[in-house]
Amino acid sequence: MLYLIAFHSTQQAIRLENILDYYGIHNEVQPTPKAITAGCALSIVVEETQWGAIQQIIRSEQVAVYGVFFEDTATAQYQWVWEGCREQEGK
Amino acid sequence: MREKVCYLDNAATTWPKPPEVVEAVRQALTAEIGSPGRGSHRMAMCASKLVYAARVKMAQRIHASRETDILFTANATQALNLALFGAIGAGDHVLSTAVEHNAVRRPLEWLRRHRHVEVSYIAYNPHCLFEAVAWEREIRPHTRWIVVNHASNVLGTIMPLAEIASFARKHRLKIIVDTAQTLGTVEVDVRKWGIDLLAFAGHKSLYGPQGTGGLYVAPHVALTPFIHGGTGSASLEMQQPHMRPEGYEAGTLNVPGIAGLHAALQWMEEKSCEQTKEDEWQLTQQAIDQLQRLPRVQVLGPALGEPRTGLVSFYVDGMDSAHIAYRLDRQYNIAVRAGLHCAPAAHEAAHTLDMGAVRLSVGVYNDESDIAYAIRALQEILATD
Repeated sequence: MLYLIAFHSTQQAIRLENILDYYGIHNEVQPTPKAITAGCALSIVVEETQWGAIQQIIRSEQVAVYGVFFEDTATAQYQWVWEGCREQEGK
Repeated sequence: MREKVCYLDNAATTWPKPPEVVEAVRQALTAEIGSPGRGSHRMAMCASKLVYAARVKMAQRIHASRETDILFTANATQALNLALFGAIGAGDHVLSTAVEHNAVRRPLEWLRRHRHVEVSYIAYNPHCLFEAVAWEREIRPHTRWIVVNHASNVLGTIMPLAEIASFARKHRLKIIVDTAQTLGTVEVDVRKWGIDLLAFAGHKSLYGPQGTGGLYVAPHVALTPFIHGGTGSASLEMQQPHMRPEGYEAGTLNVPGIAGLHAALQWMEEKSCEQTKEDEWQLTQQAIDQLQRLPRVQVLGPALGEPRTGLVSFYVDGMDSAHIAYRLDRQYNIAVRAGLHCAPAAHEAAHTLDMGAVRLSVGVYNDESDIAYAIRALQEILATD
């Protein structure tokens, strides 16, 4: 399964992409589906199996993540996996 | 008269810019680079990554832990406005100095009048730039902030920033620093020293293009955005998001300028900050030594042999500083700045509010021959006045 890490900040997305690249964790940057958030924000798609390591990185590096989702193919809806470090977003 | 300009106004903006900076700006204007954070097509992403790369370099320059704590602005003044209006609360008491630039003084005065902020301006003491006892005397129960320049743009004095930041921590105050005159030639370590907010100019001693500057905001500092508008994200939210950095950078960024700043920061990595500071200091010593031999000339700021940034301000008894600068420009092709330098408080402290001063300021492209030429020109002007 794929997890989609969504951001409000393009710069935070690029930051996590750089960190994941540094750790050799495969990732794909793509636009965030409007069902998740409106705007020109980016998401990073990763393998579910990598999520534990990525979550630790997000916390230790204090990356501001809007939320983490997976697409429920049965309902074609995005389901929350994690609410992210929203305090980093000034929420 | 020299055919090539003798540029001695680097404290206003450094000139010329390194060829690498010029090329980076040209590339940003002509290569496939779009609008950062607006869309996810390759050109937009290229712009976003370019801006991000500049943040990384800037964070490294000041030893910040997170590049997303670097907020880009159009200049140091805008960065200072963001810091002062966004962080200082109504009723707070602020400690500042009597030698601040108007970019600090005017916002503080506005806050004093409209938000009941109290401000104490610590007097300039040429013999002791930071006297903890004098500052402690001004602390009140509601004192929350220290706002201080790292170096005066008139006097060239360099404040002992590490010591002031330590004082701030001891008294549980937060510190906002104006590094417009220092970053690039004086080392700054925001983490080690505990700096809360730091404003910088991209186009002065960092050698980037005009129209660039920024603010470092420590991770723990709460800041209210100053400019509201499009951030390229969270578009349905009616309120300005506080996320760093975009929540504080509404509107399209100056990508060509930031590309130039990035190139400048790369260019500076090959130079020793200490060596640049030393080279500039040597030129100021040459200037002071020669100026002090001229009749009627009074040099401002630290004495010969003392630390200072790469500038020397002086006045001539009985002569208007603007007239001297005008003659240097028209008769000798020498560019200097005269007047009050947007810092009347500093001139008041130096007792030069009435006559202003002429300021010579050097950069990496100046050498001894520039100073010698300027002194000869000044000698001739004095002889014919």
